[in-house]
Amino acid sequence: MRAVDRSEISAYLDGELDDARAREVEAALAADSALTAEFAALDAADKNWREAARAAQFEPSVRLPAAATFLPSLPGLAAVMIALLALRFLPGLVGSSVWAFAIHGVALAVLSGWTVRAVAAFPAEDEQARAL
Amino acid sequence: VSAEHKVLAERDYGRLLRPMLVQAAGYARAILRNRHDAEDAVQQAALRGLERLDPFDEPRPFKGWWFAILRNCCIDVLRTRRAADTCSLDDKDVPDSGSAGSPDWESLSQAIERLSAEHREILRLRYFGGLSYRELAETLSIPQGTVMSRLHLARKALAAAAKEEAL
Repeated sequence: MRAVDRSEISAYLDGELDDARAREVEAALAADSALTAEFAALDAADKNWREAARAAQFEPSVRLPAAATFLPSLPGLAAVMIALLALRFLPGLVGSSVWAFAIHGVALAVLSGWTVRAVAAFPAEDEQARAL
Repeated sequence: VSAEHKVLAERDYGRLLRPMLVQAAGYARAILRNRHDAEDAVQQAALRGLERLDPFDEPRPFKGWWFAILRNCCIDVLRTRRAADTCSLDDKDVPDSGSAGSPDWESLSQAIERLSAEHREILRLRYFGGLSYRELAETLSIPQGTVMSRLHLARKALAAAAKEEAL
C-alpha cells in the first residue's frame, strides 16, 4: 500500500478519493492513532466551518431576460407557405393586385408574430424577464 | 452555434443556475460582507454568464465555470466600492446568529481574510460555495492534485488562524 499523504486525509474527509484509495486511507487511520487524532480534529473543525458558512447563505433575487430570439418554427413556416400558395393559386379570392399585396403583408406579419410568440412561450417559466 | 442551439443553451443555463444561487449568495457575501452587494454581484454574474454561454464547453463543470465569473464580479464590486469609497458603517452586513458554540460566518470570513490569497480563494469556494475538487480545479484553473494539497494546507492555516482568534 502506498503511504498516505496528509492531503489525502482532507480528500478522504471530503469524499473525494476513489473507493480503492479511500479503503487504504481507512486502513491507515485504523492503524495509526496519531493520524486518527489528526483526522478527528480536521473533521470537527470542518463541520464547524461548514455550519458557519451556511449561515451566510440567503435566497438572492436574480432575474434573467427571456430567451425571445426569433426562430422559424416548422408550424409557422408551414402556415406562411400555405398562405402564399393560397394567394398565388386562388387569385379570385383577392380581386386586385393591391389587395393581394396587402393580404400578403398582413398574413406574413401575423404568422411571423405567431412564430415568435410560440418560441418565446415554449418553456412555461419564460416571461419577459424571468425570475430564477 | 445555431440560433436554436443558443436558445436551448439559455434555457439550460437558468435550470443549471437556479440550485446554485443560495450558495453563490453566501460566497459573494463572504467576500463583500454586505448582503445587498452580494445580491448585486450574483445578479451581474448571472447576466455575464448568459452572455458568455457560447464559449462554454459542455464537459466542463458548470458550477466551476460560473463561480469563476461570480468571483470576478465580486472583485469588480470591491473595486467599484473602493473607487467610490462608499463603504460606510451603515453598509456593514449584520451576521446571522449562529447556534451556540459555533462561529458565525463573519468570524469565519475574517479568519479566512488573514490567510494568503491562494488559501483565501480555495477556502471561500469550498466552504461558502460548496464546490467539489473538480469544480475548484475549474474555477481556479489548477489541477485536481493541486486542489487537494492546497486545500489541506489552507485548512491547516485556517485552524492556526482560528486558534489565534479563539474562533
